[in-house]
Amino acid sequence: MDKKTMYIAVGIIAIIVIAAVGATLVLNNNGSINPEKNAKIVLLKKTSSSPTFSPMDKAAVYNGSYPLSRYLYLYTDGIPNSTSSVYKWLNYVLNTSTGQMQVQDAGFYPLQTVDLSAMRAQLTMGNTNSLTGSFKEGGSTTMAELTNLWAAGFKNATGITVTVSLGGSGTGIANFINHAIDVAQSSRVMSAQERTNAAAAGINVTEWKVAVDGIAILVFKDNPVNVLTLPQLEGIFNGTYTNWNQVGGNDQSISLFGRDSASGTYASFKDLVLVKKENYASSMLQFNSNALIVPEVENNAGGVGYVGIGYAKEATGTAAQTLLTSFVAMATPLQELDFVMGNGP
Amino acid sequence: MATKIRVKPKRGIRGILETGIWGTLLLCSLVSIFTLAMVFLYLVGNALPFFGRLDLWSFLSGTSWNPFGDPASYGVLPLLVGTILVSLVAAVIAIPIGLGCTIYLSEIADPKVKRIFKPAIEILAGIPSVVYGLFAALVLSDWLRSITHSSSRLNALNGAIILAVMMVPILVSIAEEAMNSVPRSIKEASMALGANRWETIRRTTLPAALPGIVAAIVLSMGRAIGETMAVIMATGNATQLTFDILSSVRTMTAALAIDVPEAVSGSVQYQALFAVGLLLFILTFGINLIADYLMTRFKEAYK
Repeated sequence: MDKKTMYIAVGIIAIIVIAAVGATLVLNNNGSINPEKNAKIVLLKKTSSSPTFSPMDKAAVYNGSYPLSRYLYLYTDGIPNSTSSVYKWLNYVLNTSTGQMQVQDAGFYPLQTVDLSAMRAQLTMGNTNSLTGSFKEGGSTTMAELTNLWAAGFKNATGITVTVSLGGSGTGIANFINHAIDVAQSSRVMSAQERTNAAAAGINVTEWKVAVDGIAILVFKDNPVNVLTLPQLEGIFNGTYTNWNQVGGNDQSISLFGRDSASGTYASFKDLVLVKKENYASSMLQFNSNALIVPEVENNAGGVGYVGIGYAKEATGTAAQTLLTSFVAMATPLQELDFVMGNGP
Repeated sequence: MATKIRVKPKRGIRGILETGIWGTLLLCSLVSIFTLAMVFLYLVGNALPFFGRLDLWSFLSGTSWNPFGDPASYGVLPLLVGTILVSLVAAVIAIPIGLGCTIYLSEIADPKVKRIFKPAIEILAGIPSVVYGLFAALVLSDWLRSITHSSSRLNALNGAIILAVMMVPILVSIAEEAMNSVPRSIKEASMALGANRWETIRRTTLPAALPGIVAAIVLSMGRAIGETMAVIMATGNATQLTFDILSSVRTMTAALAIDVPEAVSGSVQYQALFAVGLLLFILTFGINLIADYLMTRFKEAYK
């Protein structure tokens, strides 16, 4: 085959590819290239007579009025002493002018003063983990953007490289137990079984709260449903409700978009919403990152999905608002994740 | 069959060198067989303990796949149906298109046209599957949605079409070689007896090339069944048992790719995943056996 015909072949393929891409851009008005935001956040209330709260309401997320509030965590093997690079990392992360500022840049909420002081107090008790130099961290995809911001800032400040891998909170914790990574980032707490496995592997599990997240429920922009109660949300995600007209919307079948089982968001959402310990509906499409859920909801009139607050802000184009509600006088510590439904703020 | 040329090994250095080279080549073939045996043994070894905890029938007929759920369920039927649905529909799309392309390229096309099309198809075969997956997830799904108005943008049909696109180059390459190797004398004899070109192709050349064409179909189906990245991005990975091609499915390969990173070594989920891997292995192995049988049968008839 001489050069001339090879060039012609490559040229034909190039023309076909460019034509296909061009046709897509012309015909595809609702695609992800369109800057118009096609998703919106649903307000949640615990029961039909409770007040409604939005994940954009910082105070509601802090005091637990917004039902789907949770912490984001880092897990280390023991508390590091002050010479180790993991100590410097935690010092950077738990600092209001560096790490906690970047938490806001990533769209999450920084730790409240009470929690921050508790974490910093824990940091002073270091006596183990003499890891110096670069180390590996991995796990939650919800925290991906955040830890990349932290790693870049940390590298600038100290010159130490932190390699961040993803794969979901479950994968991160499994790798942490297998000694493949040094720090696990997770958007859920470690289960009792995982702690047992870690102890068996000789790891002294230490939990660090590093940020606050509110899981946001996204629906298609034109969906008339703006508010859902927690029981309705549970019925939607366990497959009981299959049409929006069963929860006050139009006659449109519900399409569920969620994460896969390696995800911490999958697990925290399940703990907070599917309180009867049932499984998700098997018709739920499962994705391995928050970012993939957003275009699905934007392109599907009956779509509903759950994402971390950072992704919801980007998807809907709204900035964080600090609405004052009558329940907020002073910031009260966020309750632990064993929320019993029906407990008011 | 060509007879092997046997030459008595020479004495001295040349003889030792020759025997040494034969030994190295024998080692190479042994390594491949050894690797295959090790993979199979490792699969079986890790999957069998699972069947001690859960019987084979519930595994094969269980309609819910949720190894990390609470309670966990290990029914492989949704995954099996997902794989078969996607691969079968892909084959239904790819085989007519691939065969048509083969016949055109080998029998009808002008040599100049052939010199352009053949490299183009070979370039298609070289595109990484993740690029195909990206295309299917972002572009093809929207096109399909505007035609079918399905409730799910990512579904089995989306996966099947992109798999068909990946199957066609392999099919065409191998089938075309098979058709080219049909002796010219057979085609000439057919034409001499009065058949026109299409009749010759249909009744003489195609049947004569059938072993190779069957091999091409089987190899491309093997690729379709084993494809992971493209189907993960294209089908939506819902674990439901469904025969509706416009709804989301999860294939066995996708289930392995999603669940393996989270499985703890030695746990029941780990063994369940090996059981799924073993099933996949047996499926592909079975298809290859059938193809082998068909090929020998047709070979006898036409040679």
